[in-house]
Amino acid sequence: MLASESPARTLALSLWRHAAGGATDAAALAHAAAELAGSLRRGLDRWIGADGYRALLGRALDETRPVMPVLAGLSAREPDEMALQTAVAQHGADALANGMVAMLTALIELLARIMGEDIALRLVEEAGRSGPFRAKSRDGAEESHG
Amino acid sequence: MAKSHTSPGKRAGRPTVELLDTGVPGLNEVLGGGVPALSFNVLAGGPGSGKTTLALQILFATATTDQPGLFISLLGETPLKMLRYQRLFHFFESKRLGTDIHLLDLSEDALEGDLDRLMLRIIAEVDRLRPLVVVVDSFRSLLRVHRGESSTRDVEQFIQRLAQHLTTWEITSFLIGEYLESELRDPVFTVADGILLLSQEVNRNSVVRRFQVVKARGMASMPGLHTMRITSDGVQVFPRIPQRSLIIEPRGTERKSTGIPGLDEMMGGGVPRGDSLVLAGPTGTGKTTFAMKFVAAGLAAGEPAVVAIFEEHPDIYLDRAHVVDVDLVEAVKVGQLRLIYLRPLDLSVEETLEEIREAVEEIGAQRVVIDSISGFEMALAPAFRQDFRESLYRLIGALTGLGVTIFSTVEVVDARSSSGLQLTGYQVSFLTDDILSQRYVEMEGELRKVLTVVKMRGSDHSREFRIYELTPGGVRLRESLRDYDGILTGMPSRQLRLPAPTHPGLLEQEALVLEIVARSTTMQAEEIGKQVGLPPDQVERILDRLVHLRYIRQSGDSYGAYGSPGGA
Repeated sequence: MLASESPARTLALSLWRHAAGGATDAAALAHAAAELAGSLRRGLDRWIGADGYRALLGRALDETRPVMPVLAGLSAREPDEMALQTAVAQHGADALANGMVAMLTALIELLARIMGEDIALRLVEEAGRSGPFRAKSRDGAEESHG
Repeated sequence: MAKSHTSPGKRAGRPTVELLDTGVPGLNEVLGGGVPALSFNVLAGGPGSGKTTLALQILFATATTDQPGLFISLLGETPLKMLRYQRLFHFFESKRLGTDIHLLDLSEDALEGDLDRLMLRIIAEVDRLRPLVVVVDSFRSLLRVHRGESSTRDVEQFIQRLAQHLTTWEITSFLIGEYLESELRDPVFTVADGILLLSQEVNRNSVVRRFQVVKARGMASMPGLHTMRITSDGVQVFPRIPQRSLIIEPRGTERKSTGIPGLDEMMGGGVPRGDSLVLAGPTGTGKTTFAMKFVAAGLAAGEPAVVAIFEEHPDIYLDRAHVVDVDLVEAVKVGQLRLIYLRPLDLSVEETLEEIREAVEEIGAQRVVIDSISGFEMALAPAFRQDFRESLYRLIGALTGLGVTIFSTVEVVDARSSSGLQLTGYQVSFLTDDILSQRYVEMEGELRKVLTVVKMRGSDHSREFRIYELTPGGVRLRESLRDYDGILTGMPSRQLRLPAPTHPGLLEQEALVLEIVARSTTMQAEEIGKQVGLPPDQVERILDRLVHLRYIRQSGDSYGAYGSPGGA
């Protein structure tokens, strides 16, 4: 980790690595990106509303997509997994990783400007880690999925 | 944060309702002990009245990881904005978001108007989290979306069902609604167990926030409007009638020295412990000096004191004390004296009382000085100034309930008026036990200061007027003005004081004539008349009566007393 890395970027990296796991092929990586986007949407929807999340994600993508064409499959609505897969095949796994981290970082920073860094980091982390790879049951016990 | 419950306990075998500690200073007291568990409450008030802040503050105070708090946002303030501004309060702990405190934004569902779906989503979330407290913001905006008679009925039914569901899940809930007091007749409110109304009144440059319990099923809540303030710590409610004021400290025979030689004697030994004394006088008569001496006397006797000042900065006040040979700085440093400087111009009586009460309890004060009542009035918000007598009555009443001896100063506008003794312009003599009055008089070409004890409840006191001076050492009482009349006019005149008549049955003038005749051998009526200053016919009548009663004898035109050389 670079000494000058921001907390937002650190979290973004952590979330992507958690989501991607050890995946290397385009399909798995595209799926991981779509799932992570879905988790964030479901998690942040409850805190800032569907409209609020879509607006923030849209702004984050507007900032990062011009320099990260691999993110073409992501939109403020549902992620297009096929488009993501194609983008990975075209640009490479590293490009997707960099793109997702950049997009997440932008999202966190935008949220931080509105509600403060500590809340933004907390909410995004809760949302990002509560995907199918880490769900909570009714009694609070964590279930892990394969 | 551990959940805290306040359970009032059973009284004589009667069941009671479990109460939740709201965690909001002053609120439990107003509610009658806390919020009844499982109750369905409405938090009503206009925009900016503090509903969301209060609701979140309660949420943070009551939530735990096992029994979290849930804030459901329907329509109104967006959660983004709400979090942005609410995080500025000290009670808002970001690290508890997602563990103890959860937020659910249902604005889209609310806008779509599918109330059944809305209910399902709420039920699902409540079932998942099993919260202790739920806040729903806001239901009035839901009514606005669903206009029309049938839609309004749907919303009312929705709220009914929601209340039922939340109660069966053993949840204490708060519905936030932008309602003013005049709008609390909506049928929706019949569902609520409690209706808490927040308001704010803007009057000139002051904003007064108030809190009222409009309805509290099964609770002995405090009636009336209670002052409320929102600071960085959140909401604080100042109960209108502090519970402590209901505890009356018994008074004994102990007296508190005023610290001024001679004045204690005028008051029959000093100020009775627990009394409320008012020192009234025009500007420049040394009221603050008297007050400082009272404080100093207490400190010398090991009695801590609280001084509430409204007109001077504490540093200036302490400097002035030094000038009159009273060192209060050291007392402040060692915690024997607390200076409370209150001058926000939108103060409420309750806040003033709370500040003073806290200080009294912290240092164990036995004396309280209010300098001055006039300054206190100016510091109050206009809304409280309108009925200042009531405000003062509550303040003094509550303070005397603490067992302290109170010394208040009040400026009298014009003590030289011919209407007599001007005590205060506030007509608050009824609530003071003791009254000292200062005034100016013109004597021998100088403006002098005069002091008198007007009233001491249940205690004898001097009735004389005493000249006094303000000296570098403080106050020095000087001679009495018992040989003067017309002191209350501001221009006293010296009078010849004759001894009281020793002849029972005689009128004063008759006794005076008798005294004059008795002092001489014989006197003629004309001469007697000149000495007493009465008209001749009146003197004749008096002399005839005295002769008739055989006090004096008449010999021609002369009169003499019996036994005198000129008499028989």
